[in-house]
Amino acid sequence: MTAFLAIFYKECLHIVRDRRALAAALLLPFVQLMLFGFAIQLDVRNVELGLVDHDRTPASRALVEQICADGAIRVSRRVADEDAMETLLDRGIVRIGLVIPAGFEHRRHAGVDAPIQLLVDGADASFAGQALGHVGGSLQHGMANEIRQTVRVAGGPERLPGIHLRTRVLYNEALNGTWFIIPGLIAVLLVMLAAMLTSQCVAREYEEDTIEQILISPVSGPVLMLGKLLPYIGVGVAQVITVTMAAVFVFGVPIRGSLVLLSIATLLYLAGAMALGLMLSAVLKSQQVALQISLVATMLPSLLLSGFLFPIENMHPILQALSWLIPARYYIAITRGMFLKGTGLAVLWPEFLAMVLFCTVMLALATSRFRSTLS
Amino acid sequence: MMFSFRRMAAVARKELRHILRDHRMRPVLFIVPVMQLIILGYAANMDVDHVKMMVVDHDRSPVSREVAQRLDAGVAFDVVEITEYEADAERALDAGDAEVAILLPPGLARGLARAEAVDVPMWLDGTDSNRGTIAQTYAETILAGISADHLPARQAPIGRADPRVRVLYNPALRSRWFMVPGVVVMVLAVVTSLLSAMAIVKEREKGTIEQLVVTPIRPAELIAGKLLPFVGIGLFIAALVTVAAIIVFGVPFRGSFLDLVLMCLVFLMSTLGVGLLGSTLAQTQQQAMLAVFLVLMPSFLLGGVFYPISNMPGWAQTLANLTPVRYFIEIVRALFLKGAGLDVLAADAAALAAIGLVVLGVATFRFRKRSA
Repeated sequence: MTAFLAIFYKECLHIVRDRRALAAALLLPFVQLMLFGFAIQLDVRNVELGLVDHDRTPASRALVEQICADGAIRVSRRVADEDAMETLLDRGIVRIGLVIPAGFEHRRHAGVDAPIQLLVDGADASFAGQALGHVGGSLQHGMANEIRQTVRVAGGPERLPGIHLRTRVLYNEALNGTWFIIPGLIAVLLVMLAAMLTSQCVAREYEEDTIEQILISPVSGPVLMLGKLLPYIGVGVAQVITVTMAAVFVFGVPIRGSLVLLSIATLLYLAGAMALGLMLSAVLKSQQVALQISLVATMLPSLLLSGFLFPIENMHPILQALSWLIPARYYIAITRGMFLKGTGLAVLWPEFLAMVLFCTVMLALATSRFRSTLS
Repeated sequence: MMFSFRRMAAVARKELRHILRDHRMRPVLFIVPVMQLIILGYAANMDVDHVKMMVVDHDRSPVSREVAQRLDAGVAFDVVEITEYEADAERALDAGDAEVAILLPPGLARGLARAEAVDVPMWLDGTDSNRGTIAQTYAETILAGISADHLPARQAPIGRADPRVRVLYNPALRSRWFMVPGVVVMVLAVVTSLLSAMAIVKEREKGTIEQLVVTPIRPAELIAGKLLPFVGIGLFIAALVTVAAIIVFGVPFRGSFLDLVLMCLVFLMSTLGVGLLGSTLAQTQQQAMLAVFLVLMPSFLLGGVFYPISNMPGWAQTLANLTPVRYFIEIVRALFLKGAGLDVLAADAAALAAIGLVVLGVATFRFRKRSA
């Protein structure tokens, strides 16, 4: 116990003495959450549309008005023909264009469907998909209103025959993109800093040749590892508290699950990420390589394989299997469940179990690597 | 003392030897980038399809069975279960086993046959707001088709505007074609900026910086010599991941390879500059790493790799315009998918070069002041 306290105290001193790194570690997650939380918007806005109107009738103008009705899309360029439009798209001046052929009004008033053409730059597929979906939605609603009105004026029924979909949105009732991003963002920001912080602490002993002093002291591997880990977990907890407060009070993300359970999950997650850093540090014995690998091993996989940006169900089965090795996957499932859905252990127990396993395996690996250098 | 290429080459040779001799760095440099591209290229799939759906069938008619079958038929939805109990659907949504539940009411078939309006409730998991919105549009389109087939035919009072979509450059709107060039950019940015971040601070930590400062070599020669091997490594990695992108993912490369090399060189100026700046500001490798991380994360998240910049609020767009990634990603996508030439790329390239020159200049200046 005294040995543990000694290591714990020494590591605390290390953390407190490097003021710059400590300040950065405490402030970074909060600043980044604020930055990304406000900046990243999933709903379509500020879309600039190029327009070719060969029809020039009230109907064609009404169509453009319908598309621009909610203010997300506005006409920024009007050009004479399709060739001019393609030049705009080639040069990236507009990324979506609408062509209304001549005879548009005439056809519609004759009761015939009138084709219009949408041209979209598919090089930015995420934008293209969103913008097309948005234009399609605006058109659908505009047309439905128009038809309903025409029918009503003609003395028809109040509601059109056929299936009317009545959607009730659960968990994220306003379909607020920020509510979706924030829990994932918290997980990604935490794991990177956590692994980077601890990836230094065993390698440093090797590089500064203090490792031999530790080896000859009567400290066992697990005690050393825990003593090194716990002070960093303290730093992690401080990060989590600021970040969660920001999520709740600044972005208004609700916490519908149990706060106690969320805290336990967070501790497990931090411990796992930090044990990963510790393991890399003990295996690689070099601060530089350990840092490189811990950043590479946490940053891109946590962004891309954890379900933060891309749905895991969409991935190739091999990658789905690989994503089980990424703790952010479990933590994101838990935070989304806890924040938005209010689910508990009954649903989330496999994720908890996986995080306990990850943490244990990493700590065991770190300790065993350290022991093997004793002999 | 004039700028001497001989002295610069000496530093470059030493630095290259340092990197290549470290057997732990070699896999980090050459295998990890390609592995990342392959893994992430397969992962980066934003297509909304195979949305898991529960059907609660209260009607149990041929029509309701047809609805379930037609919803399941396309790639949009996978019907995971057909049940008679709403509680099942609630449970599945809570557990994440289903993302939407559609509740077919009793009297659906009768209502359609009598040409009445029939309300069909749908419960939607809104957690992923984008996926939810798109899934809702899919459901509306499929159900509109079913209504039209079952309602007695009638002359429409007014024709509809019928949008025909033509997607240029990426006709199937494959998100992989869009993401893989993005991953190329990310891998290149991460590796080169981290390498150069270590360059100066490593010497400082090992105490060899004093020896370097007292050797008869100018700061510019030292920095150029230090960065030159990273330029080589960066170009090699760029070639490696570009070839992998073309061969493994079949992303078309419609531009010229020479232009790509040129643009990579311009981009490397800013990534190496950022790393170098971090390296001259930091006391320890850890601090340098934190500084680089501080720049990389916003570059990726705000730079248009994942999210369209046009959606962002004005201040964030201004911030995005300061990141080199924002321009390089446009260039790389235009080279891969649009086959753009230098005339189209010139504006982005100029912005990239301006950022690179400023960052490199500041880093060199800082280094000179410190070493003096």
